[in-house]
Amino acid sequence: MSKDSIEHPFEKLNRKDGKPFDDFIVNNWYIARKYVKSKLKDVIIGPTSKEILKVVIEIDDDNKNLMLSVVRQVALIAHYPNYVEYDKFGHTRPETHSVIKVVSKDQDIVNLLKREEYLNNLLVYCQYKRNGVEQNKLNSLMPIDLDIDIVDIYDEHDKDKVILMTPSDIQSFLSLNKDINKKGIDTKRAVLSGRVYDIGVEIDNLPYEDIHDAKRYGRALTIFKHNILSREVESLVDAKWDNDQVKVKNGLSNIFCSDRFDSLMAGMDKAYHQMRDDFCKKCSQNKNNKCKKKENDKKQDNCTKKKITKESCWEKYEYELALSEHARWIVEKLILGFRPMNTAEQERYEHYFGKRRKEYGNLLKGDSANLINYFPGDYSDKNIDPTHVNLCSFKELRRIDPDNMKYDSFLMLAIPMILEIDSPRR
Amino acid sequence: MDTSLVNYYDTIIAKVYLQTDTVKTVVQKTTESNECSTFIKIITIAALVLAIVGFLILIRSSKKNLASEKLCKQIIGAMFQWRPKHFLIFLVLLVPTFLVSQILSPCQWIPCLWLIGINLIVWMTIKVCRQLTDIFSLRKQDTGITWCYVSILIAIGVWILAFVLIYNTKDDPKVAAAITVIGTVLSIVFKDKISGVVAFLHLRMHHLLNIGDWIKVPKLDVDGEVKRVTLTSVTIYNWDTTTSVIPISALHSDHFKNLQNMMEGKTYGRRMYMSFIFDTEWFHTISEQEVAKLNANEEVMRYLPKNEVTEGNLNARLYRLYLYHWLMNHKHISQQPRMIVRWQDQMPEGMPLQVYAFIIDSSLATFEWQQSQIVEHIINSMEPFGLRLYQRPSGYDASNNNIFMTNKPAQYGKEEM
Repeated sequence: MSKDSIEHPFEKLNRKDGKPFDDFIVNNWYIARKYVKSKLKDVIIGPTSKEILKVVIEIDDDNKNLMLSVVRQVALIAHYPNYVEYDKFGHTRPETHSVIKVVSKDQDIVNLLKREEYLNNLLVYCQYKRNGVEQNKLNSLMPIDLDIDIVDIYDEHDKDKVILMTPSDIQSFLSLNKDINKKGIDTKRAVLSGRVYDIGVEIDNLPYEDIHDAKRYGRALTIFKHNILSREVESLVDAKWDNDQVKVKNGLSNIFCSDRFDSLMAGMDKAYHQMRDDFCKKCSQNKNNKCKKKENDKKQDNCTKKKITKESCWEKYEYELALSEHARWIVEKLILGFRPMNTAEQERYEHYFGKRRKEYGNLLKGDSANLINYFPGDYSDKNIDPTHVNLCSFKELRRIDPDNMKYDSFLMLAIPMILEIDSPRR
Repeated sequence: MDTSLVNYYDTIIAKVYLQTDTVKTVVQKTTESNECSTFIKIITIAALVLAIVGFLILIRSSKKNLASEKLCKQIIGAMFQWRPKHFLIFLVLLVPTFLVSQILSPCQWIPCLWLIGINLIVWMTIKVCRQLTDIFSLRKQDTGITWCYVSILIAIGVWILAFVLIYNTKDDPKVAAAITVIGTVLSIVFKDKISGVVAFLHLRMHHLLNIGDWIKVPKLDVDGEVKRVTLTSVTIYNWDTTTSVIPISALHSDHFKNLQNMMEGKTYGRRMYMSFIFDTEWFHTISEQEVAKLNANEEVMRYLPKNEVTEGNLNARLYRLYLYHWLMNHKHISQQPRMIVRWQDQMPEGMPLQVYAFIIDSSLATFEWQQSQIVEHIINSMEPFGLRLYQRPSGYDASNNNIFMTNKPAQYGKEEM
């Protein structure tokens, strides 16, 4: 494994029919990834933040494909831990969704966005807006934390509060970062985050008693830090990727997941400082306590550090982080071509029990050729999108597949350890 | 004048002067020692006054200290919570101690004083710990309660050890034998208490029981919330608003259920386990008309696989499939760890259909609500399938039936031979 961990994973992703994507599309993915990461690097949204991300992307340009790739990348990365799926009364909370406004006068923009190389199944199975009018409401099977609005004209009245991504902006970014054309991604973080599934019995055998109680993962986190993370970092892309799109998509999933680590860390730092301020304020309000809130007081700083640690902050917001990660995962899977189960698949899944049910689930998310091989009468089309049983709301996931939730929870708690090993240099 | 006489007078004068000096020295020293003792007296009196004032202040502020969040202040507050009965208890402890010490070491006051001192410390420890356990019980601080009781046990152990060491009982075989016999008798008398201590430590070390937990002890007919845990007993507020106090050793030696995790929603859900007896007279294979009727029912077909709705299929089977899929897609039913809808053994009354599922809402009222809604749906949804539940005939059914064995009416008169 090369020390700098630079690899080229996007080339390995194929279309539904097995053919590779064009070079310019793959190139656009790499550029869009770096551009969007640089534009959003100063966005700090923690679990208690009231602000949301608002992005406006102007599509119309000679290089429309690049801007469409930017939309794809923003959808993959714009997920923050202040997302609330349902409130106490079961209502969705749109005010916690990231807003993506796609500006284009092209009447066929929706079909363009639905292409495999861009948003793919995201606009097929989820609700979006067209000039403010809700579309696809009946088909929207699961809530997502993105509010996508495709508009003809953008009203610039709130220009100061949004992040504008225009063709000219991306051109100036490209001119400043000339080496961006050297394609490649540092996959170290992706490899480390993928090791969550290597823990083994320490996490597999954890009983389902409060998945969101962070203390339950103490032992597994210790093993992860000292045993699993300390191993040499291997390459993410290997020979198996050439023939197995499932492995490719799993690997890309790790990359998209790890792309968010910096923003999560920044958001949690903000939440941590907020917790310390609140603690200090509460302490100083106690009349018997002589300690009054002071600025830059080292003694006070040490006092709060003992009571409010960064670990306790991550443990406190573990549920919010896991929820946000699941929301991101849904969007990522839909963009990578997954779809929810149809009725027949659902019925068959429910008719299988134990190991067979698990095997059927694996078959559904695998190669379509295998699926047709086992159930030839059920599918008329040769190229079927894979499906995943966990493509549902976080609330539903608790009753459908609660055992898988612990991996999300564990990964969120392991992020500081991963970042400690891989200091940010992009 | 004679020289010898002059010398004599000189000697006398010198002696007088010497004595005067001596007197002066004595007087001076006496004067100094009087000043010193006064100083000591003043210091002593001032210290006593300060101690009394400090004591009174601490007694006055004991409630405030007890209410504090800091453990040190709570301990100080507990130490200085005094009531008249505490003095009485101390006196009661003092007399036997004095008598015992005089028996063991007559006219020796130092061992007696040591023993009284140790008694005081042990008594104070027990007093403070009991006060603190009240507070910790209210605040549900189980760790604090455990440490209080461990401190009491340590204090008792220290008392026993101190007793042995002060009176050198190991050197006197008669005394050692007497103490051994007394200890054995006490162990037999208090064996339940001792087993209670062991049970307490076992339950606390393995976190099997906390204040606020919902527990069931079937053998003792206890079903409620744990309110207080001591070294020897557990107080439970039952759901029927009565209170049960059970020996803690019963939880160690017998089976008890802790349902707290389930009630807090930390498990897969709360189990629903119900059977419905179907009248098998209504089981039949469905006809073409029934197939059409079912296909037209959108609500039923949402949860019924289309390929199963065919002529000749058993209506009971279709209903079971429908119910199974309906429950699998129910928002309040967990698919894990299992969800089963099955027929049970045939009975004279009919054939039971059992529903074994976990409802994710685990608090009592919510769970019963959801369960009742599911039961109502089960009853309501069997009609399109042509099924009925079994109901044993009542007196009303017997007197209002219109079934005749023959066309002729029944004759109740006896035939004449």
